[in-house]
Amino acid sequence: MEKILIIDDDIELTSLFEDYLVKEYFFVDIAYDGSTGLEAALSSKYDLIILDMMLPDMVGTDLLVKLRQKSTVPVLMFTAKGDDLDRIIGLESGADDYVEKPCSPRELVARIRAILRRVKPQSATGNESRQTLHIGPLNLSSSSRKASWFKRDLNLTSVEFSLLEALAQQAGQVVSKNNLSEHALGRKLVRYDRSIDVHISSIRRKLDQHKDERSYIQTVRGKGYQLIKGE
Amino acid sequence: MGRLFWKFFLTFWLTLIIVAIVVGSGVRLRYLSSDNADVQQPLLDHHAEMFISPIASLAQHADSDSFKRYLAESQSFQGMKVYVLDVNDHDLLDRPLEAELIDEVKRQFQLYGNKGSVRQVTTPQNQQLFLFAVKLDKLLPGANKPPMPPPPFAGKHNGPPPPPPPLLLLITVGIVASLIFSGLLAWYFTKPIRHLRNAFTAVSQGKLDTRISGVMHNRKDELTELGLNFDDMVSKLQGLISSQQQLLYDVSHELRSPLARMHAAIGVAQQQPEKRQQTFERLENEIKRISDLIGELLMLSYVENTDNLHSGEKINFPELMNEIIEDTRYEADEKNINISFENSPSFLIVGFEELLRRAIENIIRNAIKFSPPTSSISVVMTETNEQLSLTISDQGPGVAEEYLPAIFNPFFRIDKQSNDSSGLGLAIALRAIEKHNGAITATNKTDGKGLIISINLPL
Repeated sequence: MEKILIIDDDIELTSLFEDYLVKEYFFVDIAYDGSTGLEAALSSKYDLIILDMMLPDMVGTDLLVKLRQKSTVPVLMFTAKGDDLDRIIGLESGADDYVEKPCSPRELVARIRAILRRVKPQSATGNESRQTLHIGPLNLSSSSRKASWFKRDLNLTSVEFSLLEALAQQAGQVVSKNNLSEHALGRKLVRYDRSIDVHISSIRRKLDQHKDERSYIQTVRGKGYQLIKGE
Repeated sequence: MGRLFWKFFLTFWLTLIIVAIVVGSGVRLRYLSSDNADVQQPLLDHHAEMFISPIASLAQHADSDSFKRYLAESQSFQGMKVYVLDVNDHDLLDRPLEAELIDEVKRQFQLYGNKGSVRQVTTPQNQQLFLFAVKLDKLLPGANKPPMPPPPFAGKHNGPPPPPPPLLLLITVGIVASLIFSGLLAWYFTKPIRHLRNAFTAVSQGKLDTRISGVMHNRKDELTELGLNFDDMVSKLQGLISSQQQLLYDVSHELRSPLARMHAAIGVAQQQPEKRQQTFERLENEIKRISDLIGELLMLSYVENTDNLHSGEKINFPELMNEIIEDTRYEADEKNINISFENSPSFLIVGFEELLRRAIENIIRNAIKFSPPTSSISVVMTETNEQLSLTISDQGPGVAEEYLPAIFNPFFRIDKQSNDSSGLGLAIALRAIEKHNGAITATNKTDGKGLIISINLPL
């Protein structure tokens, strides 16, 4: 049973979500403010955190930044519909995906499932070559969902790992943003959706620059992204 | 270069050209007629002056016989000769004189007085004498003109006047100079107007941070003042618009919470049909919240759009207070709260009854909400000649000092989780009181047990 922490100050709304999620066989805890929410999130008891961006005592993004210093637990954030800036700041601070508020509980559960599915270490169904990928200095282990770069461990969030994995599986080829979104977020891209771009730029920050100052992940305008093969 | 520039430019230029033509032709006419001896010359005729002065002083001091003798013996000097007239306009030496010449000399005396070649003196015998010098060459036989006195002012050199500069050159220089001058002047006048126009365009395109006093500060005139007024207007507009935008932002967030709960409640009802009844009640509550919020928003906008006090009505204030206290007593009784209020005899104030009622009612309701059960709220009204003050104090928890100024902001809530108010009550009260040119302040009781809200209204 997956454990979910909801950090939101709206008592009635969270109790409704709790009611719904429990029936969907999740274990739900609720924190009504940022400081108790952060403390609970850092306890690494939970499989996923649902975080509201407007909290009484701190801004959701601040909590996220503090959480990301120590934990890669998947975070789904509640954003206000139409507030694009809020969403991009949230993704840049390390959220994995977002849900627009107001949303139906069904949509919320679909998002939760999509993320949890990606995060789970893949069972040993595939062959050995699918288990670990070596692209130049990059090593990806699909079973443990760990990545290393020049033998140095990369501290990737689950969505970032999934994205890098999708790019690595087709290294040298252009992978469309839509494919990336389906692979990493379990959903299709919607209009004005900058989620993938934000996640990719965050991965780029974690990888070093190429010797000739190019990034290892290339943007192919209008098409998608490409991981450089070789070396 | 706008149309105004060309208007200024043409006006200045035409004025300059007309002035130039008038002055120029005047000067030229004088110049052309300067062959006549009566044209004034800028310099004093020293010769005539030197010639006549000693004779005049002799006439003043010597007796008349010796003066006549001297006059008869005196030689002509540089072609000039002196005539002396008595009161009857007869020459002392009985020389013949034309009446025309005498008239001309008298005219010059009237114009210039004792100057140049004309003198009026009084002899020791108290006889009025009139002296003047004329040029001998004008008396030469065959000369058409009568002898004329030299002008009181005459050029240093008596040679022919220098030829005038060519007319074409004068006109060209004049036109070029006036063009440059009018262009500069028009540019100087229209520059601040151009600044203003650019600023207006920028503001109309939504750039409300436009300010122009910076570019106009080195002028000190009415246009600079206009620029300052413009800046003033734009910053007021900016404040107004940003507060409206903030309100809109807040309102959409306020509306989103009940909508999110409704959305979630419907999801739960779909998942668990047995909770349908509960969901309906919940939905009803949320709809009521939204509709209350919209009602309050409309009230806020009504308060802000009510005309200024001129269209206010006369209100019997103590009667209004009675009604408000009665209305709120019902809610107070539910929490066993006692409202103490001592009314005064009726007096009238000018204002908007609905706004005042809302303002005071909101404050009392707020006090009831934050009061503990079984406590009391006191409403005190004091009235002087100039103002009416009303204080409403409760026994609630008060407000932390740092939040005191913020409690009149829309949607400010100390307890963020409380959803049973629109968050607009005190904001409406503030605007309603400000509409009546009054003031509203919040303070904590000194012992920290309760909040005091005071309203001051001018009478």
